[in-house]
Amino acid sequence: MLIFSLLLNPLLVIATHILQYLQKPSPNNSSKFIAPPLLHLPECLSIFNGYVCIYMWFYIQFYHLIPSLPCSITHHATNRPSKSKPFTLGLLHLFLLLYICANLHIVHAIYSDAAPITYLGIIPICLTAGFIVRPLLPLSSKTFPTGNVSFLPPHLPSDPIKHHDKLAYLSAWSSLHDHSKLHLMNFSPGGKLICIDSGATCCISNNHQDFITFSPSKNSVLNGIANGLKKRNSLLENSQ
Amino acid sequence: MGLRKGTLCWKILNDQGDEVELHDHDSLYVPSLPMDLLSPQHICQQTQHPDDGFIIGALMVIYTLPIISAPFSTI
Repeated sequence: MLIFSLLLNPLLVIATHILQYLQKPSPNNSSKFIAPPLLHLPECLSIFNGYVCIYMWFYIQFYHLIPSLPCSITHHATNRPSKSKPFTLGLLHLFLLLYICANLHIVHAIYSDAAPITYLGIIPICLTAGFIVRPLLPLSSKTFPTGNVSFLPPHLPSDPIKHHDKLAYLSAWSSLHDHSKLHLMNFSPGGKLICIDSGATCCISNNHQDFITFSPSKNSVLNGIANGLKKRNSLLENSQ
Repeated sequence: MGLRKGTLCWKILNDQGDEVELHDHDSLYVPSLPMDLLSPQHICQQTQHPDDGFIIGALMVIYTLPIISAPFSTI
């Protein structure tokens, strides 16, 4: 968008001059005329250019210069590197300059009879384009912090361990320390600790009295936090 | 290790204080595990009541009509 807008300004000037040259009646061929759709080309280019300039101006001003708007939240949540403020200010000034130049060029072309008087309609359209385009922005551009929300303190090493491992470690620690005030997923109040694992392959119990019938089991692969429990058991066996 | 499979029967309390029996076939018995694990999908596949199910957002268990709530942890 930025590059296209930067290229559109000189294209607008060139197209206006070409049409101005073609519109001049030639002494050799006075009946020469331009096809009507081509006459409206600079107007269309100007309108589109004004839309782009105003859109970028509003975007930069409201989403990059004011830190209290959700832009700062977005950059913080997604950890994307934000552009530096001098760079943004430079872009803003550049677009303002291009916008003023485009409007001055249109006014000058109209004043010198190089462009029809209908070109005056471009300027108010450019001025109000930002107010029209801004509400039409898609809501998806406003991203909110959704993922990567960690409830653990930042000083804890959390990179190599997955969430189900943390739950397994915490549950195992809680079961080994009866005096702890941590009640993690106490599914049966007053009863035993049962953890609801939505990713578990099947229910697992460590008490044989909970079973009505028994049958021999083959080797099976378990999903869910059982992976973490397996790791913890191996750690306990190694420590003993 | 003593890993075996069987029909599990957990007696838990629902929100009204009544005791409810959760039956689950083909459950695993692993004595070295520090806690019991409940698999919602495994229980929902075996229940015979059409209204039974798990509501994960509020973490409620609807098992043979009584509602059982459980604390929810997101770690």
